[in-house]
Amino acid sequence: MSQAVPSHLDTLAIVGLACRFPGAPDQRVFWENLREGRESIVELDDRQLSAAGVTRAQWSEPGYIRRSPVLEDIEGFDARFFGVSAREAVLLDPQHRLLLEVGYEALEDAAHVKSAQAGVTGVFACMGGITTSYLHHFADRLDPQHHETASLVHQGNDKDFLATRLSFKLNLTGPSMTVQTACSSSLVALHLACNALRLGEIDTALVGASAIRIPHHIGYPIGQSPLLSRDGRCCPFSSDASGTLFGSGVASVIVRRHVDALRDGDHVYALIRSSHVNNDGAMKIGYTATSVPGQAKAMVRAITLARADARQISYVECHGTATTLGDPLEIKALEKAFRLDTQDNGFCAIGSVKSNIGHLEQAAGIASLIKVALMLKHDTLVPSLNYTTANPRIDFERSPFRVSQDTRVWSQALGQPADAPRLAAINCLGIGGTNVFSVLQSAPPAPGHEVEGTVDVPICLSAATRDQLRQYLLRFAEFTRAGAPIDRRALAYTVNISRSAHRERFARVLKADMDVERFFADAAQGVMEAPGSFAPRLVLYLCEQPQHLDGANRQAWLASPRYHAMAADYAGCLDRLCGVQLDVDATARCAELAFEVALYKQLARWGVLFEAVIDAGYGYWINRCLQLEREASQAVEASPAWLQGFLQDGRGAAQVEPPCWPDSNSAAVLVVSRQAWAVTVPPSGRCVHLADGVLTFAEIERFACAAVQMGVSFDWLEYYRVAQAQKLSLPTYPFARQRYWPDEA
Amino acid sequence: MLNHQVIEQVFDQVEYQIAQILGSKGGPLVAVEIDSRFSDLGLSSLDLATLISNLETVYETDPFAEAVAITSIVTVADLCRAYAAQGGAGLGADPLDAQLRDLRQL
Repeated sequence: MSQAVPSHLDTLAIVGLACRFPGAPDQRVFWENLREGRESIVELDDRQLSAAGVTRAQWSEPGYIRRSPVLEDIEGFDARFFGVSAREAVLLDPQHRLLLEVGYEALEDAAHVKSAQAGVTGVFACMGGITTSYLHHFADRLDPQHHETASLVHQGNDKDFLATRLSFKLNLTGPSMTVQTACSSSLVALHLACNALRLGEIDTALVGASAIRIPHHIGYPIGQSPLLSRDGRCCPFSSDASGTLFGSGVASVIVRRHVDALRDGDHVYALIRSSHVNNDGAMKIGYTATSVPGQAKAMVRAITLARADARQISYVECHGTATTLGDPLEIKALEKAFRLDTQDNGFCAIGSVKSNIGHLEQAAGIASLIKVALMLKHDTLVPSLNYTTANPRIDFERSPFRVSQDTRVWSQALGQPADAPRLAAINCLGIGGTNVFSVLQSAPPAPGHEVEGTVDVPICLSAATRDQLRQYLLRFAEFTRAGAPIDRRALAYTVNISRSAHRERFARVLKADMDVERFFADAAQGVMEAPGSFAPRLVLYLCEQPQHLDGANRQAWLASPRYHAMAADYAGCLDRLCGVQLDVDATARCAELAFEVALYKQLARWGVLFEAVIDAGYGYWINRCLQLEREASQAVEASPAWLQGFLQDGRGAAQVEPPCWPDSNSAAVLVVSRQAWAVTVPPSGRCVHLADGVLTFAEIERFACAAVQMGVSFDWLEYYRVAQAQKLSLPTYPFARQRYWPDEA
Repeated sequence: MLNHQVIEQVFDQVEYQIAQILGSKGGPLVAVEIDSRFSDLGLSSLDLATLISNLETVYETDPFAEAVAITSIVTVADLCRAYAAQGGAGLGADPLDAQLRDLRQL
């Protein structure tokens, strides 16, 4: 960039997201629903209403609207995964529980679970209102004698503990706060996250919103509130609009600085150019009213901070609650803001996700954000539902705006190439007058996204139980079957660096000639029969004969970028060994030895740390070198006697007698050896061999898989340090969800 | 400059219409002064919408369709001025536009 941009104007990137919305258990179904124009507001049956405590007399009243945007499975939670006891799980508000799962899914989607823990990650979250809360409804069933300050009930239900519990459970060490401004909460949380990123306070932000209404499966009597729809449908901007429906949803997005995202090969959904937050103050009719000046000022500031022209904004996701008064005022505010820049009409599509899933209150803003991020990512405009003719107070004919009514390729609708930047905006407001306006932009296409079919790649996936591992593998099988051809290096890289290591593991090399879907489907089928997991102590058994890797091969190996640290070790070791003048043959043998030494140091760098090293034959010299290097870096070259011994005896002999295994009866031992045929493994142990013949990259990948499969914790971030690939959005962890609910005694 | 007589006339009409709305809600009738705030009168934003709709029937004009943002109306006087301005020669520019232009500077 030729012109330095002040950091408060830095562009940010949405690099991961996850959601559970009405009709959508995840982002992929949510996108399908948006694209297909599906309304996810359902008719409740008698059984559901009755179970939620609505009486027949109530629902039989004329004008009882039995429709609701239902969120599926709010009662379930994978308590074991998050180390929560069953007793505590019941006392925990489902808003707290589900945000843990969804926050984790978002980090996995960003491929940043481990790096978020290693770096500084902030959490900015919000939750639903108190009068529709779990505690408000079940107060007398949730440990009623113990509602004192800092009790489990207090910690598990109050908003103060929402963000910080997530930081604790996921080990995230940046600022962590719950942010509440009613319906604009989640976009205000996003705004604070963006500021913290721009200030350099954090490297990664997790923004989360969790709004779950209890009791859940209920409707409402018509006229209960002027905000509520009179026919159970939400019709933004339309002449038949009569209000909204409140619903539930849980969602999270991961945000990083765009420069960092580019450097780290992150999968970018959309860019955030700017956002602005303000409050209406007192200059309006009442506390609950919206304000045209308040909204318009937030819009104008955000557009200005984005260094954009309103004419470039081709989509606005409106707050659009479908109230007869609120919609025209919002459009009026948008017109005031846009008319400063342009007199053109009808160039900007608008929509409201509330027509699909209702009004998710505190989570409404993040639902808008995820909708727009997915629209930008997929280059697709989607319809806003239930629009017939314009609200009589809106004159679309003489307005910059038109309601988006169908599914279209966005760039084509603009007559632009697909990779030209597209700008979108989100308007969000809340009772109490806090307005937010955000300007987003499509991300530039990821570099070098060629589909490579010619490489072998190691793939390691794990889960807490065998059955979850099978489900996880099936998710990948389904994902790779449904999607376009996949970049295998990116697939392996993303899985290996970002999925945490759990007890039950699958680790194997995906060969270049294998079908990806078949690979995962076979893995899922075979996983139940695989040997059980194993938490081994590591023993290195050095009984090698030298590998006779010729000079050219060795150099080719060491020239690979991934092994640059190993190359440095090799050069250092060789220097020390050849401190004295040696003949050609002796130099070659020293090079052989230096290579072996560097290889084992490389294993240590990947986290393969040995508790014990047993040596025999040639292995003695490798071990001696490793020991001497540990003791003092100059020790090898300071000992010509040692070198003489090596040069005379250096070929070594194969093992003569079985080694003495440490604690072989009590502890599980994993023996790592170059020559498996020469090893007698103790009864409690298993063996992985590093290479049978000449050491190749493929052998290393096979070894890494075998070691991970056995339970070794392998440092993939280190493995890929200099050979990164692009990250992909892939299936996330299959939580084993059980029901935790305060049923009647 | 607005004609004070016009404002007075509008005020009489507004006062009458507010009383109608408050009466239909069954709430207590309170004295409507020229500087009363709508929120103090117990009128919600929806009531205000009804009021404007009723005034539109009377005056055959809706100043909030074009010139003035409805939510910048705080007092009865604000409302009266909006209608009085419609009756006058030419509409006054919305002061909000000037404020927004200032905010448009980086």
